[in-house]
Order: sequence, then C-alpha cells, then structure tokens
Amino acid sequence: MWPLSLPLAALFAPAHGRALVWRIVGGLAASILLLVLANTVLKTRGRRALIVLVTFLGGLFFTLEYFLPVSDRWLWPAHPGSLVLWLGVLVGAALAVAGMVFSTKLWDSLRGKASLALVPIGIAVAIVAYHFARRLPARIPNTEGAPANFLTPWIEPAVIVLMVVGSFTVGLGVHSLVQLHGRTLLRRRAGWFNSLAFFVAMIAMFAFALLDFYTETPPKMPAGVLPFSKAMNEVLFTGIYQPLISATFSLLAFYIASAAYRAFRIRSAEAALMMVAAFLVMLGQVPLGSWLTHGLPQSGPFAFLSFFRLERFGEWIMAWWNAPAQRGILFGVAVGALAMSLRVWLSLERGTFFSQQPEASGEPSSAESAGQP
Amino acid sequence: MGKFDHANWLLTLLFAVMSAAIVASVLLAQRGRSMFVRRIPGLSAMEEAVGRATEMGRPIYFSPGLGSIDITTLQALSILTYLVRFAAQQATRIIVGTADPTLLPVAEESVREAYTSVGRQALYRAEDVRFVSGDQFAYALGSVGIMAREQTATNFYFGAFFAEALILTENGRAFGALQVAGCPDPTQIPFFIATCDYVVIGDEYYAASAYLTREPTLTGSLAGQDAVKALLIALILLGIGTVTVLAGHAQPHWLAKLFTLLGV
Repeated sequence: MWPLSLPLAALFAPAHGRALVWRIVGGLAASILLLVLANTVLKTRGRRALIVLVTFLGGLFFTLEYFLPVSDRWLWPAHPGSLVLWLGVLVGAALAVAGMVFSTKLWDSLRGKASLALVPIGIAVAIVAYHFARRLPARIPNTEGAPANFLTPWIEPAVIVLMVVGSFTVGLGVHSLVQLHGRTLLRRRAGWFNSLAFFVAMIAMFAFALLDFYTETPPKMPAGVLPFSKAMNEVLFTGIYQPLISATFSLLAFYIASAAYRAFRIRSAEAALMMVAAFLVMLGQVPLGSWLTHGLPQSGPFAFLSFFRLERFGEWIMAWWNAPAQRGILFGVAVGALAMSLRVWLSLERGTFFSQQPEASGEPSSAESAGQP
Repeated sequence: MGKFDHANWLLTLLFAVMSAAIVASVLLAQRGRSMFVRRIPGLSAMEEAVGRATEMGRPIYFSPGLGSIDITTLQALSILTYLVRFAAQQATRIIVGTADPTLLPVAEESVREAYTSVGRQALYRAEDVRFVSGDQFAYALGSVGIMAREQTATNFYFGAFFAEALILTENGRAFGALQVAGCPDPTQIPFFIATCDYVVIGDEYYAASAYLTREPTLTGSLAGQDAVKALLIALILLGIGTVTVLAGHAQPHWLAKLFTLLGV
C-alpha cells in the first residue's frame, strides 16, 4: 500500500499491545514538549508567526488537494516528470512574486513597471515545465480506482491529526464546567444545588458508562435482566437523558406557534404580503386547499385556470419566488465565506482575533456615522 | 483510500479569479483607497443593544451557536471581539456560552485580548467564557438558564444555529431582553426575524466585522465580494442566455459543442 509506505502515513496505521502503549506515551511526551517549547522558547511574535505558518500550510494542503487535477498522473511525486514540473512551478512562482514585489515598491519608476515583465516570464516557465513533465512516462502507485491526486492519500491522516488535536479540547470543556460549578458550590452561591446536580449527573454518567463498557454480559442471563452497570447506564441514558432531550425538542412546537403568530401580525404592507403568501402555501399543503379549488378546469379552453388550484399555486410560490430568494442569499453567503476564508488563510485578518492591526484604532465606529461613506 | 470531491478546471479558474479579485481589493484598500459601506440596521443596533445593558446595569449574553472552529463561527468571534471592546469601555459584562469545547480556548483568548486592547484587562473574568454543553438542546437549555439567572439585558446570537434557535430566542424574549441575531443559514433566518429585535441576514453576516470596525482590510474584502457577486450575476445571465439560445435547436448547437470540447 503506497500511503502506508510513507513514514507519516505509517504512523497512523492501527497499533496493538506494547506498540500502542509506546505510541500513546510518545505522543503525550511529544505534545507536552511542543507545548513547553511554544510557551518558553517562542515569544509572542514567534507564536503568532507559528500560527500564521500552520494556518497557511493547512489551508494550502486542503486547497491544493481539492483543486489539483485528478487525472494527470504526472503530478505525482513518484512520476519522473513531477520533479521537472514542481521545479518549473517554483521558479515560475518566484519570478512572478519577485516581479509583483519589485513593481509594487518602485511603482512610479520605469524600472518598477519593467519588473512586471517577470510575471509573464514566470508563467511561461511554469507552462513549459508542465508540457515537458507530462510527456515523460508514467509509473505511479495504485489508488484503488478512486479519483485522486498525489495529496489525496494524505487527507485521512490529516483529518486524524485534526481529530486528535480537537479531542484534547474536550478536557478543556470539562475543566471549564468543573471550575464554574465547583466555585458556585464551594461559595454556596444562589442556585448551588444546580451545580451539585451537575456533579452528581456527570460522575454517575461517567462511572456507569465506563463500567458498562468494561463489563461483559454473562452468557446465561435470564431474558430482560441486565447486569447492574448496564442497567444503570440504560436508566441514566435511555431512561432519563433521552426523554429530557425529546421533551425539550417537543417544546419547539409551541415556540413555533407563538413565533408564527407574531410574524403574521399585519403591521406593514410587507407583513401583509407575507401573511397572504404563507396562507396560500399552507392551504396548498392540506386537503382543504385542494378541495376549495378542485372545481377549476384542468382541460378545455379554460385549462389555464388550473394554475390557480391552491396546490399548484402554492408550489409556484415556493419554486418561483421562495427558492430564488434563498439561492440569492446563499450566493452572497458563499462569497462572504470565501472572502472570510481567504482573510483567515492568508492571515490578513489577524487583528480581529489575537492582535491589533497596525492601522486599526480599536475604537468602534458610532452607529450614527455607520452609513456614511 | 476514500473518495473525495475534486474541482474541474472551470471551477479552479473561477475560484482563482474570485480569490484574486478579493485579495486585490484588500490590497487596494490597505493602500488607502476608501470604500463605501451601506447602512445595515441590524449592525447599527449593536451599540444601542450594548448601551441598553449598560443603562440597566445588567450583563449581555453572546451565543456563537453550535459550530466548531469553522468560517461561520470565526466570523461570530470577530463580531464578539468588537462587542467586548465596546462593552468593556462601558464596563458592561459579556457572558459567552460555547457549545463546542474546541471553540472554548479560542473564545477565551479572543475575549481576553479584546479586554486588553482597550486597557480593561482587570474586567476580564475567566468564568464569563463558558462551555455550556456539546448537546444541541442541553446547550439551548443551559443558555436559557444563564439568561434567567444573570437576567441579561441583551442577547446576541451570531453563528451556526439549528432547531435550538427558537428555544433560545423565544425564552430570551420572554425574559424581556433586547435580541440581535445573525445567521448565514436561510432556514433559520425566519425564526430569528420572528423573535429578535434586529436580524442580520445572508451576506450581511460576513460584512459585519467590516461594517463595525471599518478596518481597511475588511472593507476592501467587502468591496472584493461585491465585485465577485457582479461576476457571478454576469455568469448567471450568460447561462440564461445560452440555455435560451440552445432551447430552440433540435441538434446540438455550436455553443453546446464548445462546452463539450472544454469539458464543462
């Protein structure tokens, strides 16, 4: 298997017994060492640079994996042409970037404008490398018939790394809850009994879930009888937790009714229009609506009137008015998400979260001047 | 090895053009080109909402939704940092309840930095950024509990919301809080409109940080988004025109042949 032949991918192969223990111990030691190094050796600027670098490399990996062609095997590192190609792309990119940087710094001078010529030269070098590389004979590993480029086998290990990092934060969540409720309980603040309930529930769920996991059901148990740990876990999870969640979910029916009542109160022309449209769509969904307009002819010279049958009219509102409006919103949202992704990926927006941008004042704008250019 | 989606060349080209337009617009704005941002009532109301809590001497609750660290939630955190800076200047407390433990350290760091940036680090309380629950409805009930116990004057809901949205906002309304919400998901927007005082819809959600801070990077990005939307509208019109032209031909038209040749 080609992916497993790679050292990093092999690290994620299943391990058992002593190898598993060593991996866990090694992983923990490496994590602690990295954390200590990040907090002692690296200063604030260094840590920010590390975050910027990791964000960029992570984004670059997933972006390239998605956009690189899957049919052109000459892109794979095992292909002899790939070295030529990537060297060409690197040289081309360096020339293009150099051209843009020089032209930016010396924009007003002739030399600055002339350096822009490096951009097409860089692109030309990359294109020549592309054509040369794809002529070389292909010899690449088996991908089990799935569309893949040379980064695809690394997707699963990368996702596992993300999951491992994410799982560390579960402990942070528990720590936050224990700290908050522990303080409330110790200081006997108002509602301390809720915090006590939290501790009782958390410890009971944790203990019985663990006991249940490690307890084997005896083979000769009578029907309907469960071991104590399993029975307690069933009572806590299936008997208490799930009904509570279902009860909360069912509250939505009442909240929807009260919210709909407020939404459909006619306070403006727009609200009236929405009320009428909603009324027609709802009538079109129920038998009463169909019955009300079933007399409209579906054939003959007045067949066009069948359009006003409520079930058809309701569909028309949903398909021709509602769906385009929603798609319009989704287009805007997708473009906004792309812009936000680019800002995060390229660390253009670092001032928003962990540090101030040089040009940002940090002072919020006033609501009054918000609409002014 | 699992199967993963990949882009075709046309999508690659389209993304490259759209990304270039946005980055170029950001760079232009950073060089000092001024950008106009229209008035968005939901965002203009944020300072009024914080001011209400200050006048009443009661805290604010901010919910970043159920999302983990994704683009929607990062935008919510961006709005949160602005609100914390503004509220900290008026010594008003903001309580943040997260539903994802991964988000907790990021939210803590953002809030602490926001307090520090306005010189009010003494006001920062670690317990004000809390992990409520990873379960959807337990999170909703936990958040409602915070609103009830702390008697919040204002509630902000920005992020990814699902069925729990109505539980949060209906209860917030019952407690008499002023509520401002923003969500990019069209299926949740109607619920927020029915129950909140101000709602930020669609791409206004991603325009929020630019609108609130007026930082050149963000306003430039907003202008770039508009350019990309204009490009998409042009492509849609081109598509409508092409389909209309092709509709009247029994045999494949030269345009269809061209598209086949291009592998679209």
